[in-house]
Amino acid sequence: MISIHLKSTSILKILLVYLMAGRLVFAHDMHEPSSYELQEVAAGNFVHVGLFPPHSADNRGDIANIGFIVGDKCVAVIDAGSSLHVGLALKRAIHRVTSLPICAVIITHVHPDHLLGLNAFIQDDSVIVYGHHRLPKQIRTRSKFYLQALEQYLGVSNTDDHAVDATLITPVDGLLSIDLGNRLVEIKSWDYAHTDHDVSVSDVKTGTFWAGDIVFSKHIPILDSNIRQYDEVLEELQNLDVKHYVVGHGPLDRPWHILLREQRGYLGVLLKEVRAAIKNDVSLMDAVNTVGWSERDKWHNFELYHRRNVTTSYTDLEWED
Amino acid sequence: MNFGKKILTFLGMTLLFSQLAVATPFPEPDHTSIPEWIMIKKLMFGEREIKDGSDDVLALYLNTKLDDSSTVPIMVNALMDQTEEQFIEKLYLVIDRNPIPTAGVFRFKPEAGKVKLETRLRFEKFSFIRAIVETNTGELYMDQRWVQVAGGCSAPSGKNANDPLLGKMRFRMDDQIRLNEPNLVQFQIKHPNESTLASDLEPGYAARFIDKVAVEYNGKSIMSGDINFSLSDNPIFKFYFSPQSEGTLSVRAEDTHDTVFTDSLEIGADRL
Repeated sequence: MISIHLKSTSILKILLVYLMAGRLVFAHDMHEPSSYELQEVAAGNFVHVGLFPPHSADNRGDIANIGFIVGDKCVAVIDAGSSLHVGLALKRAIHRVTSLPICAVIITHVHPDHLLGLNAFIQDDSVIVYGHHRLPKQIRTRSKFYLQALEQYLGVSNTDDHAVDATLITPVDGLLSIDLGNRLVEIKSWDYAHTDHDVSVSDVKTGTFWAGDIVFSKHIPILDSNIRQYDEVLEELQNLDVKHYVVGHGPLDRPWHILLREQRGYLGVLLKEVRAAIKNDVSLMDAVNTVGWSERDKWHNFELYHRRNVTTSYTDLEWED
Repeated sequence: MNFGKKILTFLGMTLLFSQLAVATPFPEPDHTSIPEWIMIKKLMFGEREIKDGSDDVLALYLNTKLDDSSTVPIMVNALMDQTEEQFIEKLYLVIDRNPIPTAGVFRFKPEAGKVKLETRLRFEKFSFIRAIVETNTGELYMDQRWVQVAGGCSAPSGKNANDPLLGKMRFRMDDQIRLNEPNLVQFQIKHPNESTLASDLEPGYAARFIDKVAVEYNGKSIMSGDINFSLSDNPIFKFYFSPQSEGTLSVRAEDTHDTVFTDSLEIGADRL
């Protein structure tokens, strides 16, 4: 612990040295991890299960579940990871599984842990990148911050090569089917779920549903959208016939209906208690520390993201009539 | 000092979106030696002395754990009553390192009985937030807090300036109003209050934000403020007023596109 009595410039220097040291270690350790593990959740559906967020030099951005589906003709990648490093690791893992070419990359939403590894896959002109029709705008407005963050938290020195070209995205509005060769994959755009631009992916043959960050497992759900409509989407998902699933964060070995029940439970508590707080004139300042805290022990990273979920829902619901 | 500034900027550019929200521990610097503040202080107050008001004049509150830099709720409470002899005339909210450091200048009246202001702010960089009050006798008092969130002004607004509810106001107060006593009143206006730094503004487009609010009761000023996009979208204000009779509470807000928004609330005998 640095004493707060040190002069601020000394503290700055200490911090700087600390940060530089962290980056050097990281740069030195850039080689491929010896075991980039894949899990085949259903025939032809491969996932790398990432660590829990947030980003750090320790996890090197390997914080999301990303993967691919293999058809008879080609491969569709679902989410590209936090950085070129992560994207390339996935690409190498794909080549270990199959010699078929990659024909599609599907980006489930704009958040950097799903997006910024994209350039690892696009050297080949035949790769089509799919995303929600609102994704290109999100890429344009958020990229700058994401690239700065990449430099700051993952120590990536040349972030230009991570810049994602929003015009690459083939927009999906509604349902779009792509054929990987004897294997139909359906991409569906959702209106307001985790974000306002999520797509999910279904492998029709095996009934495998790739939820992106619409559904979380053990990790606290994150709301970057409208809570009421998000819950309606989850209700819709409960009615789907899902035989196998992949979610954006957390373990994949728990029953699908439990995940949905837990998540709707959390959003239900949030919705009910935020509404009550607004009705009872509990200010936002107090609400972030009181609303929904009964859910605290149920979720990983609750302390990190719950207050923000309260803020997002409170500032929306206060305009309800 | 330049070295320090660069590092502050480096550390200050923390993350906007939840997937990346990592708390960067950064010790609180000495609030009197912030270069931006030294400059702002000179420009705003010249050589006037600003006393520490935290013991008996005002208290500034905000949460220590913050995770949304575009929506940081704050509360300023006066620790002295408003009387004809001695009262708080102005409250300045200063965020040292925001694009426009003066987030707001609010004017109050002795008739209010008590001064409080609650609102929500955007923070672009790690910075001190300062609440400075000026009394009717010309004295300045300050309380301040160190805030570690960043990116709130340049975040994509995500709100729609063509919102059909643009300009809609919400009022809140107790069902029963007590005459000649301070009563809390809150109003909020639906407005994107766009930041000039927001990354989703079209080039050449002038950011649309509210720059003036004025609240009157029966035609007499209760509170008014000069504000800007350092206040969060859908700006919200909570403060005291002391009605002497039934009447009309009216709000007028004006934005940088010269649009005027007005609304009013009748306080009739049924509420007294």
